[in-house]
Amino acid sequence: MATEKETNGQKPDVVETHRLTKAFGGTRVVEELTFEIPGGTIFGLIGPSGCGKTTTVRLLTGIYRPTDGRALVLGEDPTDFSQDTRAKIGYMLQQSVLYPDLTVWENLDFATAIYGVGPRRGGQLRKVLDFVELSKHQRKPISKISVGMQRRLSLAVTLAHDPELLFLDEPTTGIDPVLRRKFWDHFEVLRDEGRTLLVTTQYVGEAAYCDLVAVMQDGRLLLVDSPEDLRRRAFGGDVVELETAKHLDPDVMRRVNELPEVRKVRLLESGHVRLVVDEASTAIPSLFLWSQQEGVELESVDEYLPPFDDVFVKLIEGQRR
Amino acid sequence: MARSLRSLVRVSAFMRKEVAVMLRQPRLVVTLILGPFLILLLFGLGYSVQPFPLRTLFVVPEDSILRPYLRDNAGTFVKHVIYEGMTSNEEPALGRLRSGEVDVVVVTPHDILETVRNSQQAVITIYHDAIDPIRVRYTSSLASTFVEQVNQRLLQAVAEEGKREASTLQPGVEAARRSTDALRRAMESDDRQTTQQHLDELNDNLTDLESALLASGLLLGRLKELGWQDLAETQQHPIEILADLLRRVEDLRELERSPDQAEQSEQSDQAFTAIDRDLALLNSALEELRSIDSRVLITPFRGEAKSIAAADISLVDYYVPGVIAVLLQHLCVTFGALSIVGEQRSGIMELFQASPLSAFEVLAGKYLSYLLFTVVLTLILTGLLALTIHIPKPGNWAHYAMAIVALLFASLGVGFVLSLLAQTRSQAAQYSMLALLTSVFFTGFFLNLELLRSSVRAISRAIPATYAIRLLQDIVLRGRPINLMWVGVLTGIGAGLFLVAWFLLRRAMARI
Repeated sequence: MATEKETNGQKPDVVETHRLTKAFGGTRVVEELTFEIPGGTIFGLIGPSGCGKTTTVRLLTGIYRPTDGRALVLGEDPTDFSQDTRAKIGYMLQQSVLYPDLTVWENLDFATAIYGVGPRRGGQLRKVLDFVELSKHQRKPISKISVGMQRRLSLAVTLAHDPELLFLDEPTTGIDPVLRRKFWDHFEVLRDEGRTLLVTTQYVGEAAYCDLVAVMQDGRLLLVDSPEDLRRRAFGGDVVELETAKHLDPDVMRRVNELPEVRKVRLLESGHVRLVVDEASTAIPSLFLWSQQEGVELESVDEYLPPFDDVFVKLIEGQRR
Repeated sequence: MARSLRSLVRVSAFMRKEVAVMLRQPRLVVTLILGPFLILLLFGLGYSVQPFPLRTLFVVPEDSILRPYLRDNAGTFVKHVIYEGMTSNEEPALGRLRSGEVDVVVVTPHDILETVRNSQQAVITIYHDAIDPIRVRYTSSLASTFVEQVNQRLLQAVAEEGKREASTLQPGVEAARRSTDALRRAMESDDRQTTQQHLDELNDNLTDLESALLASGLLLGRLKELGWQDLAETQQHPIEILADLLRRVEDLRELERSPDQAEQSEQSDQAFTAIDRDLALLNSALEELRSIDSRVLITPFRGEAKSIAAADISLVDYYVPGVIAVLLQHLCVTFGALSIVGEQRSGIMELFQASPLSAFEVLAGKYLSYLLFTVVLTLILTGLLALTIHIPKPGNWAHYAMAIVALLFASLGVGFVLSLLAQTRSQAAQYSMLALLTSVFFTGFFLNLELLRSSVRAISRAIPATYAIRLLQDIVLRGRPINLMWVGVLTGIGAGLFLVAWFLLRRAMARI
């Protein structure tokens, strides 16, 4: 039977949780998480170290049994996954769990075989190695390859049995920014192939690559939204930066603030102002018009995308208030 | 793909992985094969089956009757006793023992004859400085043998003396025979005075013989102790024959006084026939006494152990099955002990938990891979041993293989259980070493299990190597067919341990 989302042309939810809670010895590590992950999306779980991201992943992969609440993953309770459902899931751990004495190929082959993929898996393995650009290193033992390569191999290990749903626990931790970017490129390709990815990260900036972002703190889910909407929520609207050739006097500043699109004005330095507006796309033409009317000589008016670190800090501060 | 086929793929994944991990460590493989082989080779080549000789110093009083005797013979009495000299002063001798110049000091007592006359044994004290219990036992045993030899040599000398005296008795028997003939003639002619004279003469002859025989009492006592009746053809002890003869002389004296002539004639004929027979018996008994070897006389029995085992087993051969069993058990326990704990520590178990793998598949894969690997190791090790130190070949190779596989299966179970109980790799390694130590002491590897108290023997029954050592000794050394009951016990232990390991692994992989 088609779900409500399917009838509306949306992809059905692959993961659903309702008040999902996990406690260890009376201490609640994860508290009342309620969210959904639609199929074919990159779902980012963002939060500082120790906020409960890994515990959430373990609850969703069936490693932990929830203390309270429930979860449905691919339509099944994770604590009672069938072997077939488990075979549809890929799990990349926070740390590399590879056998140092085995080669790249042997590690990959072993990890694929434990998912029951038959002996004719060579083609699939080669494809995955190409994807993570490790084909040239397949005969090397793990102890002879770099940490970055090991992380790429871990991703390949997670992908090799062709899973529908991927849980990637801090896949980019400890690797250089160039490789991090590559990883996210890989994730986007996987998403475009129709897979669903839940990616945890403590790099707040990586939220920009996600389709949906859940912000966690102290075991609680603060909010779940798209990156753009999160930014808007954090600052109260879009941010536009305006630079003038001359110093802006207080009168001019007051008149800018009186514009209907403008919510907030902040002077950064002489002739450099940051404005919070409802919609950057409509506010920028209005600002041009206003400058001509006011005789203010503009050097530039551009939408400013604040880094997610700032967004995250604003959101956390907002929640605290 | 069918579910069972996928399960097979998962099990085989572990088999290939474990074998590949082991083969990736060539040093480990070489150590695993060459280590046990070299240990056995060194043991085989280096172990001397010759008992160690004891440098022995004798302390004998100047006036002791043993002095000349020991001086001439002490070095040849007992094998492995090296004669280091003789002194009459005990303290310096003990000083040389303390300083390690000699291994043993033998101190003979004063007044040996006086002590024996008082019905007491004279004590020969043997001092040593050994602390190794095996060496202490060896020395004590050698001391007992030495004292026994001294006793035997003395007895032999006395026996020789007795035989010499016995040979001097035969003229006395002849004299008694002549007196008997004269007496018979005197009684037939009814010459009472001559009869009385020959009766006294015969009585004197026989009394002299009895005194002479009693004088060699030690020999006679020994003969009595040994049971002369069973030993000699005469069936009667010489002293008893003489007692009979003296009784018959008294009977003749009574008969001589009888008034009835007819009765006298008839009974004296019977008495003379009996005296002739007894004198002949006495002569033949003395003849026999002279002809028996004195050494046989004092030690008529000699022990001789004969084995019904198929092969002639050297000490090294005897230990080979035990060493193979204990080494293979240790290899399996170590492999197993380090296997799962390593994966738990590395975090890969979490990956297994999230995958479709079951605890049974993980365990089955590990069992099969390690079994395969250790079977190959055993083949190489057995081949090397057969070619180099020429261990006895098993009577039946199939039975040998069956015993080995049962041992490997049970030992892997011990390893996996230890691995699942350990928290760290070093803890697992320690458990494995403890298992090895337990095996060395409680499997009958070098101490006989009969020496253990029955309550402690329960530990032995729980160790796979205990059964494997017996099985391999029977198959390899005795050439006997396999004892299926022991194989059954070994397999039962293995199956029990598999179930325990399965339970523990399921718990480790369970949702928490």
